[in-house]
This record gives sequence, structure tokens and C-alpha cells, in this order.
Amino acid sequence: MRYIRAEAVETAASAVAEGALPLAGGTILVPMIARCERQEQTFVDIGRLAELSRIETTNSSLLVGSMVPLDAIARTADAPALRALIQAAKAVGNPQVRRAGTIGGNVAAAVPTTDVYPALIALDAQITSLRGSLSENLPIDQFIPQGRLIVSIEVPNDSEAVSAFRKFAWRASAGITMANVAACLHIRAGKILASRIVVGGVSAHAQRLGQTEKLVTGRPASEWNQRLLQEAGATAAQEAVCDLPSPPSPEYRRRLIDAGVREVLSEILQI
Amino acid sequence: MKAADQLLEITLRINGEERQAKVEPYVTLQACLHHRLRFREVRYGCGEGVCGACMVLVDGQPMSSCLILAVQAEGRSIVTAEGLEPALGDHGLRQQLLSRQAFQCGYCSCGVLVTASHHVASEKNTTPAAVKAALSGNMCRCTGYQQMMEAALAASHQEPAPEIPFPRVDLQKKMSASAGYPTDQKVEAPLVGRILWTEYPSARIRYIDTSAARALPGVEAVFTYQDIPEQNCTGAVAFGHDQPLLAVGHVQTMADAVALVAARTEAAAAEALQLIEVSYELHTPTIDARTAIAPESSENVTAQFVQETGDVEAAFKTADVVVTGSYSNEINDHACMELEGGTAWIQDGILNIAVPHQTSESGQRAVSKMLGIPQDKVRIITHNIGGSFGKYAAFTIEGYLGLLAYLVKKPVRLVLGRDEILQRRSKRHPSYGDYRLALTKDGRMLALDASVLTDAGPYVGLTPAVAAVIGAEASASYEIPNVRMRVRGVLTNNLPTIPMRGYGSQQISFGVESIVEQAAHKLGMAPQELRKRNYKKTREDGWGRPMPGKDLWLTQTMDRVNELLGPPPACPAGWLHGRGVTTIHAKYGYPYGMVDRFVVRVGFNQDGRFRVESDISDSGTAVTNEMARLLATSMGVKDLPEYVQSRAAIDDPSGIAFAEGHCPSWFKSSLYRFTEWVQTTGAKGLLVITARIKYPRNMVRFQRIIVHPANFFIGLAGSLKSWMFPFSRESFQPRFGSSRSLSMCAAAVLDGVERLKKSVLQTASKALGSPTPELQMDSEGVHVANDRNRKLSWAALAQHAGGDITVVGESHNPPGPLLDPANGNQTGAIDFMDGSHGCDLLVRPDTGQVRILKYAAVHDVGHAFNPEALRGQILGGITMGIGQAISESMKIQQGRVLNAGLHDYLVATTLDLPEEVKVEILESGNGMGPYGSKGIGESGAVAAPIAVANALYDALGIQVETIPTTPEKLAAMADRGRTQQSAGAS
Repeated sequence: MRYIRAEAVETAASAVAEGALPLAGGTILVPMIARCERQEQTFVDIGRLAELSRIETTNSSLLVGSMVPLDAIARTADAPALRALIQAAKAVGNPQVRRAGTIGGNVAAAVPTTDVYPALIALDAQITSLRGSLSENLPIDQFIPQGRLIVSIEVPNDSEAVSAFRKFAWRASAGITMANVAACLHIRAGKILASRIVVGGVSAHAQRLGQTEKLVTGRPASEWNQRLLQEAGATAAQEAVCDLPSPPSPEYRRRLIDAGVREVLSEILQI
Repeated sequence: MKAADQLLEITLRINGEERQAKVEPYVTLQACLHHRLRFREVRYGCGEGVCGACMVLVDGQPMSSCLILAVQAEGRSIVTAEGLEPALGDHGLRQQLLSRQAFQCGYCSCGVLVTASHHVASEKNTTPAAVKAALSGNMCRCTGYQQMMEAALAASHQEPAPEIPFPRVDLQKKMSASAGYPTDQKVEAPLVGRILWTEYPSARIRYIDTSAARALPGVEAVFTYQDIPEQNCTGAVAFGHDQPLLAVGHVQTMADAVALVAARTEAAAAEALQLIEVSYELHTPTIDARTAIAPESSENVTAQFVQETGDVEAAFKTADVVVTGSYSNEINDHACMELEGGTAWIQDGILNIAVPHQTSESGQRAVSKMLGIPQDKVRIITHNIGGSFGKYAAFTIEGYLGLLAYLVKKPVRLVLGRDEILQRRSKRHPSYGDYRLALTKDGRMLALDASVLTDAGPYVGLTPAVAAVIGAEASASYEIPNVRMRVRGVLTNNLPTIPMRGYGSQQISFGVESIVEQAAHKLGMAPQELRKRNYKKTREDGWGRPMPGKDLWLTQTMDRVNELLGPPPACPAGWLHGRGVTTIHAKYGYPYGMVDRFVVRVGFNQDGRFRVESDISDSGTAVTNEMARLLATSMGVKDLPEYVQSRAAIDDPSGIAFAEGHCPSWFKSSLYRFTEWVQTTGAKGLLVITARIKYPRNMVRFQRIIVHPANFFIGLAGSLKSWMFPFSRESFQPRFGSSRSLSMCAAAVLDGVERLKKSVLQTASKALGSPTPELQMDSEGVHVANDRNRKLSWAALAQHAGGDITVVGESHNPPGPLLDPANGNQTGAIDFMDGSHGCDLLVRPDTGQVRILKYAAVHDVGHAFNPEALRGQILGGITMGIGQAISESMKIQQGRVLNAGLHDYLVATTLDLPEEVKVEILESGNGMGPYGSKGIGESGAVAAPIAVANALYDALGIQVETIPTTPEKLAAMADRGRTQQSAGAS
């Protein structure tokens, strides 16, 4: 294994473009490194790059540097549009993992059970990354981490948006996700204009649930009741692809998606 | 570039001082601090940021040092548990934790100190919920969080720490760098040892090619079974020598080791393992104990316990109500916070092995037999253990370490990874039972018929002892006139087994309490009422005979639990409420058919310092500290005596060196060995034979022919040995451990105190010229009763005696026949722990999630020596038991464990605790220990899973048949419960 400490974002980006893996909070990579599982790999430590650790709030968005720890995101001032991200950050690991783990690391690692990534998709986040010296700006679900250094993630903070996140884990603290659900609804004058509903932890990739979104969008917020919530939950459970081979069973994961969708919608629509 | 090529120099500011280190880039900050820079308080538990044992402050923030590479920490400010008070100010937390005795094994304590100190320093007047959240990344396996949370809360509110009569010296050490755990690196720059495990649970080995691994630079040695000088054996050898240290020709379980590697670096060792080529011919593994045996055959049966009292069939015919059920326990891992491992090195011709071990002499003997060297050339060093719970009752990795260090002739450190411990090491005995209970319609129990299979794995291990406990505790807390019990230990290709907290008791108590619970539901009777109608009233001895005048307090424990639980809580929408209670009557004194004896040396030296010596190590039960405390209080001295783990007691099991201070002659030690051999071989042979006898027709006839004379001769050998060697360690393995530790140790100390007082008075009488009746003892020494000026201090007394004054004290469980002549069973337990538990919980029927609201536990402990430590034992048992009811499931496919770490093996954290826990201690004085005391250590863990399971039954209307259960199973049960209800309604 080879270790490089990056002193500038540019050098880090070029090392990553040449095949080095960025070493951020270390919560995923360090256990592997310590077990000598990555002996041929070069790692570039991006922990000293102050530019990547900034967190900025504007009227219309939250701009988070890739090295911002989840703990800092969990303590961000509450805003209805950002709630799913804040709740997802709070749901990760345990206190020390949240202090070490970063938002960029969570997106780059792309493990199926990540909590932050589905929330970012639901919030329609944009990701800025460097591919060598080339800067790229993409919607987060189109981003491919290989060869790229994540610089920042921009999360829209729309006054019409309300979001929520739920996680079902094997254990309350440091428990692996069995399923998670993130949703963000745009509501204007009692009308649901748009919705993004995402499930994670049930397949290799987080998925948007198109049919459920269709069901949700277009119905006046005031019409929502328990029966509609149940219909949305059942639709989501049916359309989600649950194909992770590890326990629990796909059937049970569907139950959790059902419960999760009901809960996030109930929170957003205050039913 | 290879790992070995890059070595980086780093500077860290640790506890205010600049320190330099040279590290490979893959070395974590934890490893750098602990091994290179000797900050031993920074401990390793999981390697993935889950357990919190390695917490340090990095630039003021509590972080897992196992998640940071040392090179990443360059220039950072680090504060370890030792540097907290200078860095954060003294807010009294350390004293609070100490006086609340918040730890047992103490391995987690330094991590807890870091997290909790930071929380207390940054949150003035914190809340219970905030403390819980702050500590949710620190795992504790012994004491279960309650006391540490109380300590943090009290420190934050600046409350004074409670008074304790003597400081817990053991805890002070454990909360610092000087604890001395086995996995602490004992010598400079040891080689790295690794084990190559089998890839399959059942296979023939065609060949093993180690040439490529041996040729790898940095590799010192690669060994297979062919390199073992003498006996290729490991495991618990009490009942058989069937477990090989290194596999020969075939493998039978995923726990089988194939080869050993010693290398100069971690990286080289890891690569060497990859380069060893093993060719396997696969067999189909036997993975289900239930299909591994035919109904009346003895094939694959390694232990058997059968018993019938009364006329069971007749009782079932006359019964008003009969309930049947099948209940099983899946496997659990001990999940000790410290990893399994240690260091071995040769010094002055002696092979030293520092490993966790509850019975170090058995380890010493195993290594000497394996290497073919005398026992006094092997030394097992084991002081503090970072958790055991029975895991180290018989063996650990001393064989692998011993072989490596002995053959390579260099120090070797071998510590298993958490994945290896979970996937390759022995587990609690999984058990499957079929139960039938007959009752009258007013709830009187008439008969119990039970048949239990317990999965031993491929080796006998201690399965006969566990089967015997399961069998002997079948009637549990109840007066049942007719009982038929059959327990069989079954050989499979699953992981081997070793006792675990509440071994045998947990399995049988879950079965019996579940069938009783089902009966209560069927009779429409309150579960506590049915139990109370049938409780045993008086104590019984080891053979089931009532002991008059010794009333049990089972009813009192149950009544108090119900009072503590109070009215049922409100149930929020979308959840179901359930309440469950249980009573346990679980063994703690267990003679294994022989005299269980404990010896201790007490006395004082020329400086007037008292000390207590024995061979036992500290696995967190507070027993070493309690022995010292008991000596101090019984002698009336002010300072806490020192506890010394005596080598004489370990190195010489005949007890001669311990009692008389000189080594036994060749003749005497050989004589000792011979009688011991007669005892153990006879016992082993008998148990193996009785396990194989066909059930049931030939049972009784054969038993009588074999068991009667064998009992006589084994008993005779035992009596002879006791007469010749009164201070020997006489017992069948495992001779020590379980919940009887304190009752045995305390009795031995008190016996020693009696002798010490006699000896002191004799010396004083000679020196002062007064007859002993005129002398009096006080905290300073001895004086003449009517003349306080004629006195001798402890120091002066020791000088008069020509050095130290020391005596040996002993205690023993009563002897009895090894096997019952009527049925060939091992004789049962001789005393029991009594208690009732109850809880209120909520379960969500759609997701199966569980929230435990309130928990109450009431134990009759006979007599409480240290109520706060005792409370910690019960709380720890409850926490572990809750985990074993609802989260600690092993994911197993075809004999392979998938759980690879503590992120995946779900030990309960602070967030899994009940919202409120109440523990009460009753002191009936009816135990067999000193002052009528009883054991306690395991009973909390026996009761808790049952209380939770019964509450789930109450909530869902469907009974939990297997523990641990999972949210997925509970959700499916909720569906069945609903279907049943609607079917009942229509």
C-alpha cells in the first residue's frame, strides 16, 4: 500500500485520476487497510484540504464540502427541505462514526446500505467533482465515483419542499440498514407539484419509485388520509426491486418499505 | 510498491507531549498508540468503529482510533483515557464510575471514560437520554451500561460520588494503562502469528502445500500438523481428546485450523496465508442436529442424560389439560470485548504464554503434552481477562501460540480478528427441545415430559456437563411429581461448543418456562399465578432430596417483580403491548461428580501488609477484589489487602508448594498424577460409555453393572487423593468459573481467616507471654485484653514468626457419586440461584420492531457481599439476555457463519436498553455459600431472554419458539396472530 497526503485539491484530483483512492473519514477504508486487504492500492489522504470541509447555507441551497462529517450535517439548522438529509446523517452508525464519516465518502463508497445517498437523490442534490483538472457538475444519481474526486454537494433548499427520511436497521446504534426511505414533496397552495421517493438498502443501488411518485403527485395534500398512505406504501413495496442476497428476506424488506413510505409521507403531510 | 517498502515518520501530540513514531502506512492510530508508543489504555475491540474500546480525543473530539491511520493523525493532538483530567478538567467522573463499580472486566472502561468525559465536560446538567445517545458507541458486555450512565449523569450534575468501604483497586487498574490484558503486547517486536482455517465444514484434505508461503520474504515459519512434536490436541479435554490442534487428513467444522504462519509483519503474514495451497475433497456436512440422529440409535450421540421420576404416562392420562411445544435456542457468541489472543515467548528456558484463560493449569498441561516438554517448562500468564462468560473455561489459543514460539524460538503474538472469533471459535450449545406438560384444570402441574437435543459440533467438548445441567434442571422452579427427561448431545459439522453465561440453564429454562407460559394461556390463568401455585417450597440437595428448614423465596421474588412493574403502560397507536414474567431456578454449584475444591493463601508480611493469593484470574466478576475485601473486614484491618495470583497454585496442582512452600518430590508429584489419572480416565470412560448405551431398554441393566463399581473406585481414588494432598486442586475440569466463584472463594478466605487468627494468637501468646484467651485483636495487631500497652503490630508479629505469617484456607462442594447408579446420569447441581424477572414491551406488528419499556428483576442472592457489584452482574445479564432474545442471531448458511464483525453480531448497546430498569436484591440466607450466600453471575442472562419472549407472546398472541428471534420473524408472527384472532372471531 502507498500513502500520499494531499496538500492541494488539484494534486489530490490528479492522484485519484491516476487510480489512487481518496481517503476521507476512513470509516469504510481503514478497516480494510488495517487487515492488509489493499496492499497494491495507493491512497490519497484528503483530510487536510480545508476547501473540502466548508459548509455554506444560502437562501436557496445548502452547499456541503465533500469532507464535511455527517455529525456536522446532523447538526445543521432544521429546514423542511433538508430534513431528509439531516435525518439520514443522524441515522448513520454511532456517534464516533458520524464524527469521522464524511458526506463525500458516503457517496463515493457506494455501498448498498448507505443512508445518506438515497436522501441526496430524493433532495435532487447536485454533485461537483474533479476528474483530473476537469470539473464536472451532475445530478447525484448520475455520478460515477471512479477516478473522480468529489468537491462538494449542493442540496436545494426550496421553500416549497418538505422532506423526510426513515431507516430500518438491524440495531439502533451501528446497525446495518435493512431498508431506508427518503421522500421530498413540493407543495404549493395545498397541491403536491412534484415528489421524489427513493428507497435504499434493498438492492445494489438506491431506486426512485416512479409509480409511487405518480400516485403521490397530483393529489391535493388535504385529501391524504390513512387509506391513501396505505395505498402509497403498498405501491412502493410492490415496485421496489429487493434483490440483496443477504438477510433479511426480500418479502420482509418490502414490509419495511411499505412502513417507511407510510411514515415519511405521514410526517411530510402531517397526517 | 510493497507495504514493507514505505515507512513514514509521524509526530503526534499525546496527552500534551510530543511523540514520534515510525509506522507503515497501514498501521492504525490505535495500533500505533497501543503497540508502538505503549499507551495500553487505547484498546482494540472491533476494528470498525462499532465498540468504542479504542476511543481517544483527536483535536478534542472523541474518535475511534481504529478508524484512523496513524499517518492521518500526523500533527494532531491526541488525548487518551490517562490524559483526560489534565485535558478536560476533573469533573469527578472517574470517581463516580469507580464507586458505582460500573465495570467488571474493565476492557471497555478507558473508551467509556473518553466518551463520557467529553460528554460531561461539554454538557452541563445533561439528561439521561443525552447520556444514552452519547454512550451508544461504547459497548460493554459485562455490566450493561446502567451504572456508567448513572455515573455520567451524577458527574454532570456535580453530585458527590457514593461512598464505598474499600476502593476497587482492580477497577482503578483496569481504567488505566496498567491493567495488563492478555492481548497487550508483552515483549518487544514479536512475530505476527496467523492461522489458516479450513475453507469447508466437512472435507478430506488431499494435500497441503506450504512451499510458496515459506519462500515469501518476511515469513519465518509455516507449520502443519506434521510439525507438532507430540500430541495433536486442543479443546476441552475433560471428556475426550478428539479435537485436533491442526487438522490431519480431514476437516469437520469451520473451526478447524489447517496451518500456522509466523511472519515479521502483518502484511507478510496475510500474504502467506493466501499462498498456502490446500486441496479439499468435499463432503456433505451434517448441519442439523435433529436429523443427525435416528430415534433410538446412539450414532452421533456424544452425551446422554435420561431420567424418569413417578409415572409420567399415567399422569398424562389423568390430566385435565395437556400442552405441547417445541422450543429451541440458536447459537450465541460470547462476544468478549477483548479479542482472543496473546503473546508467547521463551525466557530462561520457560515457554511463557500470555492468553485469557479461566483454568490456566489445564492450558499449561495441554501445551506441555502437545510439545512433549515438562509442565514446569510452560507458564500460562493470565491476570485480567477482557471478558470470558465461559469462553475460556477450558481452552483458548494457547496451543497455537505455544507451538509457534517453541518451534520458531522467537516471541510471537497471535490475536484472532473479530471475524475469526465469530466465524471460527466455539459457541453456546444450540438446543432443540420437545416439551409436554400435564396439568389439572386448577393449574397444578402433574407431569413434564421433555426431550432435548443439544448440538455439540464435531467434538465432545464439555457437552456431557451441559447435557447434565439441562437434564437436572428440567423441573426448574416447580414441584412436578412426574418428570421424564431425555437429553442428548449430538455430533454435527457445526461450530464446536463451549459453555456460555447460564450454560444449559438458559436452554432448559427457556423450554420449560415457555411450556408453562403456554399452559397459562390455555388455562386462561395469569402466568405469575400459575407459577406461584407450583413453586418448589424448600431447598433440595444435589440428589433432589428436600432440605428441611431451608425455604425458597421464589414467591417473594415474583410478587416483588409484579409490584415493581405496576400497572400496564399506555400503548401508542400502531404498537402492541405485552408483559412477560419468568422465574428461574438455575444451578451455580456444580460438582461435576467430584469434589470441587478451592484453596487460597492468606496472611501478612514483615511490613504488616496483608495479602490473599490464589490461582484464579480476574474475568470481571470482582471476585479477586472481594476476596481481599473479605480478608480485610474479617481481620478488621483498614487497608485493602493485595491480591496476588499465585504461581505456586498454578504450577503445582498437588497443592504442596502452595501450602508448604516447597516443591513436591518426584515421587509425590507422580503419585498425585497417577491418582488424578485414575479419576479422570475412569470418569471420562464412564461418561463416554453411558452416552453410547442404547436407550432405553438396555440402559438400566448396563448402568448398574458399570456404574456401581466405577463410582466406588473413582470415589476411592478421590478420597485417597484428598487425604494425601489436602490442598490440591481436585476437581473435574472446568474446575473453576461459573457463578460459584464467589461462594467458593469467600468460604476459602473465611476458612483461611480462622486459621490465620489461630496462628496469630499463638505467635502473640509466645511473644507477649500471655495465654491466648487473654489476647485481643484489633485493626493494628494484637494486644493483651486488659493492658493495651502490651501489644504487637502485624509487622512485629510477622517478624516474631520469622518472616511472613501465612496460612492456607480451603472450601469445597460436597462430594458425591460421579454418576447416578439408577440411570447413569452425572449427578446434578447442588445449589440454585433464584429470581424472577418481568418486562413491559411494545412491538410493532408491521415491522417487528421491539421497544422494551420497563424491566424489573428481583433475585434472592442469599447474602449480598457487595450489593453494587451484584447489581452490575444482574444488569449485565439482563442486557446480554435482551440481546439473546431479540438481536444476537447468527446468520449461518451450510455450517458457515456469515456475521463477520460487531456491526453484524448485534450485541445490545445503550439504545437497546429498557427505558427503565429496576433491580432488587433479597437476602434469604438459604444459599450454601458463607453467610447463606449464593452465586449470581449467570442468572440474569438466564432469565432475561425468557421474560422478553413471554412478553412478546403476550403482545402477539403467538409464542416465540426460537431465541434469538429477529424483527422479521416477529412481523411474521404478528400476521399469524392476526389471522388466528380473526378466525377466532368469525
